Amino acid sequence: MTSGEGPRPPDIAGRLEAQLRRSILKRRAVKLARPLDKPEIPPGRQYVLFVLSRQTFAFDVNYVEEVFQIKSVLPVPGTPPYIVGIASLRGPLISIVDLRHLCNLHEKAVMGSDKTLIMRNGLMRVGVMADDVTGLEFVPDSDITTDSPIFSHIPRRFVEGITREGTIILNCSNLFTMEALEVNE
Amino acid sequence: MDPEFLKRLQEAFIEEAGEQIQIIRSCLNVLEDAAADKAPPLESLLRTFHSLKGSSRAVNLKDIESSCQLIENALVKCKGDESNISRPLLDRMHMYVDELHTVIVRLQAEQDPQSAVLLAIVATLANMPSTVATPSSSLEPSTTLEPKVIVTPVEVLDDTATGSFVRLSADDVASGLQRSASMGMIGTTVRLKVNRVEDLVNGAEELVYAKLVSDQRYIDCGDLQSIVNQWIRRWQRLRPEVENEAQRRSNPGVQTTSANAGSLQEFLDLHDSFVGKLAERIVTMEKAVLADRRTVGGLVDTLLEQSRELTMIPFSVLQDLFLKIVRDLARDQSKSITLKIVGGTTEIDRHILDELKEPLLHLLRNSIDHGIELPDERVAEGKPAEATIELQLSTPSSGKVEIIMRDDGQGIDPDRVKRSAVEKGILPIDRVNEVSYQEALSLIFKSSLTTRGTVSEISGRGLGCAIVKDRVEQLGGTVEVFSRLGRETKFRLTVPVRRATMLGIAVSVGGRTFIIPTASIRAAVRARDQDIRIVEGKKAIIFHERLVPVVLLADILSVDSDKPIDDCTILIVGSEDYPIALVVDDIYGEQEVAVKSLPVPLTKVRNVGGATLLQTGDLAVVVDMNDVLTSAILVGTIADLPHRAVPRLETKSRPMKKKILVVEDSITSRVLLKNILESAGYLVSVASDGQDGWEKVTQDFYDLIVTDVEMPRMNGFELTGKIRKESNMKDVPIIVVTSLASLEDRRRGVEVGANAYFVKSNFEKSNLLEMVKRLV
Repeated sequence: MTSGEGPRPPDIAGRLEAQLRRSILKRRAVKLARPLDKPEIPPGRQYVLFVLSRQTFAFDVNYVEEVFQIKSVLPVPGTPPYIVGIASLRGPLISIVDLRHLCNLHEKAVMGSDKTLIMRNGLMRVGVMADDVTGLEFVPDSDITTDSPIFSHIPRRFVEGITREGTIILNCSNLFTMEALEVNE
Repeated sequence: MDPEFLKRLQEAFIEEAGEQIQIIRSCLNVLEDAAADKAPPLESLLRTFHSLKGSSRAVNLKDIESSCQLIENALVKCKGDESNISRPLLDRMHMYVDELHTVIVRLQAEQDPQSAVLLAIVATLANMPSTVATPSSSLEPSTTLEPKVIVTPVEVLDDTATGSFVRLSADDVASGLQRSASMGMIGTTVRLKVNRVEDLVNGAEELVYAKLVSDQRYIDCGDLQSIVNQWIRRWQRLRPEVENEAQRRSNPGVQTTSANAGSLQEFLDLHDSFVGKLAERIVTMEKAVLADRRTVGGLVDTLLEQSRELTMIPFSVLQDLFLKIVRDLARDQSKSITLKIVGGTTEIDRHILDELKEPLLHLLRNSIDHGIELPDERVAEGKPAEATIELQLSTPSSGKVEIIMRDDGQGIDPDRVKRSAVEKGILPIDRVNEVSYQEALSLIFKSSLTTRGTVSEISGRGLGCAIVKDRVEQLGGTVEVFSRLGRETKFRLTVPVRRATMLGIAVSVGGRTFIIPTASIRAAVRARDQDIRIVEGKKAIIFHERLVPVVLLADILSVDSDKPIDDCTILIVGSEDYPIALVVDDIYGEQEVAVKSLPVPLTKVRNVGGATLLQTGDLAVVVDMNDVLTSAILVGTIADLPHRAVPRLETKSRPMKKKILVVEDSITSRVLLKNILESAGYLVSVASDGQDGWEKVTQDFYDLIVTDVEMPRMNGFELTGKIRKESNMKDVPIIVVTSLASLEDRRRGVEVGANAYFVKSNFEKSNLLEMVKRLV
């Protein structure tokens, strides 16, 4: 029982009246309620969209920790080209990855921005450089095709699928693993 | 039972058992001390075995449970007659603890923890007399060779200002054990996993970033202030003019709207007060930022200091291990030794202590194996039959700890050291007489030098002292040796108490900054001043009268650098015996750096040891000098370049692959040996027994022979003897690898002419390779 009647002393009649009012209102609400125009939200996910070599890509938002403006990246000699270098993320060090080398997109040498997506998959935490980060979008699963030939130059295991708009959805659970990225000489 | 739960329970058991093993070992050591009161340690032992019994039952380890019961029964009988606990009983218990330890290790590795040995060890305890029937009042003469190790009451010199002495007697040790065993008071201590503490320390280290940031904010404030000041100065110059204009406009004679004129004047006043306030606020903020910077700096430094202290542990944690080693070796070699540890409460960072463990064990083994004489020899020398090894710890100045290991053995014979050094080519024969006593002693730190005629499994491989020196120097410490022939040998190690931040030299290569650990640099010279010559197509310089190969760090790191070599700086790196001239563009100077490991997914990057935050707030790569010194470019250079001495410049051919014959009847061991040796770059032939081996020896030439002892048809000793007597390569080095470890066998090996003796149970790849390298 609620006691939202203010500082007044307990007043049984008043309380009953309030209860009655509430139950009448509730009954009316139930009566008037009708289903939403859209039947229900289709199965799908939220994705973070970003641009790389003029192509729009998407990461499942659950893997994206934040978008960070990286100030300077220190190149580490002896690392493969997909490792841009290391940077300090407010103290801790983080490796910065250039997806263009993993996805065989060699268009521009310099990134269009210093925006970096900080990705996390379990213990693996790396930064991914992007030309631009364009936003968050809900994509229903039904909008994603998995057998389009467009992304044939990207290793298949890194791709989840492609949307109707042509956004390539990357497979974070395959991409952000030691198997895919580890450097161990 | 729920497997998840059982696993957790087992983890807890492993940890607990580990501690109980420690306690048991300590108690046993006290029980062996003739002078100590035996009742408290016995009590403590009983309690420990009892709780071990209970906990092993909980995790369903029946062998441990029932063996504990047997020990308890045996120990209970000793109660009231503690001072006469029999020697065999104690020996059994030592064996038991060792076996228990291996069982726990197996359990930890998730292997089968069943051990029949455990039960076998204690099975006979019931029939064994627990105590010696009569107290040995008959006072046997000290000719008994029974090895003896005791914990002498440890006297700790507390070097704080009070200068007081803390006396820790065996009773204290025992009662301390009692306390820790029985009074697990809730709330006064917290048990933590080391990695959690280290995470905390790392977290504190990362707060240095906050310090750097507030430095930057202070600089920002200064910049802002100077911008505003410039504005104020310019405004002050222009102000009279603007004011005149405003007044002129507000003059009724001028054609203008009065409202406008008034507001301009108003704005001027407002502007003045606004700019004034702005300047004032910036000054206030600057002061606040400065104060914050001091506060943050102070807090961070304190936190860092305190958190680093969390990982400090007393030296005495190694005490039991050392006692055990001394005890075991003394028994094996029939020597009688007392190990005294003084100042065991001295606290040292656990990483440093961990790094020190091996060098100290080396020295300890060396001392027992080489230094300490047999009891009758000692008596003949007029020394007490029982030798003393003393480990003394002190902190002579803050941040440093000094460890002195002294034994009263036969000392080091400088002439033998010199002879060995001459043989190994370390010391030119014509200089022998110029070498002083102290200089001769320090020769033992050269690698490959040993005064022992043969290599034993314990020591004498000639690497021990070199490893000690390397390790201690890596820690930023020093090691010295003193000796009086026939009387004593003393090693003095000085190491930092804490794993301090490393000292590094910032260098520039191809416009990037790299950090090179100062410890790895022997000298720095300007390239211009050096005579860079080309030897067999490779660059080299003469440094300290020897030819040193020149390598560009830029080449090793694959960084582009176009600086002419004459404008560069040369760092002399590498070992004393094999120096390398490493060329860098520039050096900026030395600084303290805290090295961080590379973030995932960079597990290991060649030539890179980690990264560090420079004082400027920028990151820099820390060079891994071990990688650099073994890099392919460098190895290529060295292989082509003779660099012993200058005169030998002309003749040098590519080294041929050395040929090794492995004689071994077990196919597993044979394949293992073959793989190890081949991966180290040797050409390996195999023979399946001594006879087969002998046939191979008569047919071909080998640089080294590795042979097993127990083989069908002809054993390893026979083969060795035959090669020494009958073959046409009588001087070929022979390493005997075997599972036999007795002194008798070792003597046999030496007699038939083996150069080195290796026991399979201590079989370590690196050791074998070191030995092979040395002998070939």
